[in-house]
Amino acid sequence: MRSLVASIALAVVLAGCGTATSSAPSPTASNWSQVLAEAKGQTVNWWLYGGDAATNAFVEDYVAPAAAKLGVTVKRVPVSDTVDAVDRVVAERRAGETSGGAVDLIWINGENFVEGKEAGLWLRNWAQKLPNSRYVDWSSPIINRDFQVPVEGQESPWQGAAFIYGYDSAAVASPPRSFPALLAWAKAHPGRFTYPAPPDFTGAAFVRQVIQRLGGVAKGLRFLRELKPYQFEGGTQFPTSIDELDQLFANGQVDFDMSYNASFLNLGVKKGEFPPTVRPFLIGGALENTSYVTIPADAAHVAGAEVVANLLLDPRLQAKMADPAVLGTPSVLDPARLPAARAAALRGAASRSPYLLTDLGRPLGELPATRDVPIEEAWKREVLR
Amino acid sequence: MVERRLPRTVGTVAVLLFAAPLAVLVVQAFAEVWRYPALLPQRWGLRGFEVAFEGDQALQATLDSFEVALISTAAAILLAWPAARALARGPARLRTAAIVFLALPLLVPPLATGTGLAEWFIRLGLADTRVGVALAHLTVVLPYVLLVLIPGFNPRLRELEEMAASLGMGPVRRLVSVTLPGIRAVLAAAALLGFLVSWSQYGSSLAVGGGLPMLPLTLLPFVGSDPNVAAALSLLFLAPAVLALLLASRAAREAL
Repeated sequence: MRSLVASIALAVVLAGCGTATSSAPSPTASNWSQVLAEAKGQTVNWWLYGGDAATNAFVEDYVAPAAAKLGVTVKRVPVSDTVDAVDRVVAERRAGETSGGAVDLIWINGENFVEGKEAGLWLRNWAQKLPNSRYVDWSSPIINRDFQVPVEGQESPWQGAAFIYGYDSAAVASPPRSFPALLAWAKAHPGRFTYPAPPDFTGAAFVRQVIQRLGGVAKGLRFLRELKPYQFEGGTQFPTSIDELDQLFANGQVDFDMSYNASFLNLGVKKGEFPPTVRPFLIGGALENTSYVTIPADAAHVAGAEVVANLLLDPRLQAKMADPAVLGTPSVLDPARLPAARAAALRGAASRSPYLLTDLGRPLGELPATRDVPIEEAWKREVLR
Repeated sequence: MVERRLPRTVGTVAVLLFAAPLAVLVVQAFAEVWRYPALLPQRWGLRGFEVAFEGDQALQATLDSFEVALISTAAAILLAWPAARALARGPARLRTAAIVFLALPLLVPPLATGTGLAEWFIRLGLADTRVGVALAHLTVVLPYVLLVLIPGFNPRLRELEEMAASLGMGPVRRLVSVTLPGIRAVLAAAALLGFLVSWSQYGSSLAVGGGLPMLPLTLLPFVGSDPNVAAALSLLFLAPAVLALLLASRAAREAL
């Protein structure tokens, strides 16, 4: 519903004034010291999902102090859905604003990035000019494409994401590590597995992983149909959100949980949501993905936003982020481009926690964002019915 | 008093229905670990409050929300007062038409009105300020306040006012010693409702406020993802609401 409204709003933008600012030159100064000078004294309004205490603390305790040293104030604007931030940018565009916007930086997701890129909402060609961008492997398709759409310097990576699963080692000895094994396991333990119904973000990712692993939409959906009667409540009910699945798993009502946040068990144990006996596992290779920040073309504090985006790629801050005691999410830096000691720190971070996987297997790239809706409809038609 | 007229059991059930969810909320706010099927938390603690109040945002948000709710409620009462007075005495058809017209913003999804409002508030230079957000809230607060106020201006009050006028009371005296006491209970209810509607706005607060900290904006992301923090923030969220309810019910009781 929310993304539908956003789509309509964007469609209006596209129809109305899609080309209005497409030729606007990027205000980015080519010289970084000039950016730093301009950023001094600016307050960057960073709109980001506000429901994760650990991420909020990472921003308040590490990013904001590092930015303060450069004279930049980071103001966290918590949203419950990324589309809220995009809506504001769309409203500014419709009001004819081309500068002075209230959104300086957004923790964006693939779907909203793609829609905004089509509508020309984002600042162009800035991400690869950030000094710390040299630590990023921009030739990797997991970095230079977001849901198969070329990034083209309109967003900068800051956090790695991998689709992993969780089980409780006190209840399950050895979890299934392939989809056929999952089906066999579900048949042996009826009612102990389920996944959130798409369009929930996590549920949709699960369906995409099945489709990718089993070699096509038809095969994937056939597998899910076969799995359905052995699911929680005989497959007659699906959790409508990942929060519901987390709850079922925490309560021990189902045996497995899943998340695109590679640190979800680590963070869940820390906040008392999961028992300390939970452990991560993979089914096949993990879907991998990257979290980015983007800067709206009409942002009021472009220089400040670039300074913050650059800080997010700072090897020391990335090491803090990868530290299980802080966030534990995978770094987006390429260890080969880092000094040996820093690379080792990043590589070793995951091994310090039993709730993180050190090896994510051979990564599975994401399907194009344009296929999300058709897959979701096919799932509703052929699996949910 | 209501309780005296109702059988005791009905009163008790009503109190329990109202209090039980609140009690759960209080427990949840102090529950660091609370997993099914335990009746009480496995571990108590202040984590919820520590996270909720990190970085002072929640306090600033509370103050901002309070100010905005007061401004929008006051503005709504000022606007709705003459309107309710006129509509209460006018033809019924006009009354219905006016109410339906004013309620239109309530019938569309709040997100759609939020984006549309934001666009026009930006054009008019009203976005990103507390007064701007209060004006945006007015679009949803006004219909509720008007709806509650209309029955207050009933024929009985009108007769009293006419009587007072015929006794030679001036307009100010009439307002203070006849109209206000007569409408006090309804006014208190309208103000309470208006305050609560503004207090809990999400969509228009975010889009029009442009990042201005507001309590529902801080609270909503935690709902579902982190019940402990959400409960701690909810207690903060409920405090002024309960206070307003107590004040309003006292004002209404004194009027009876």
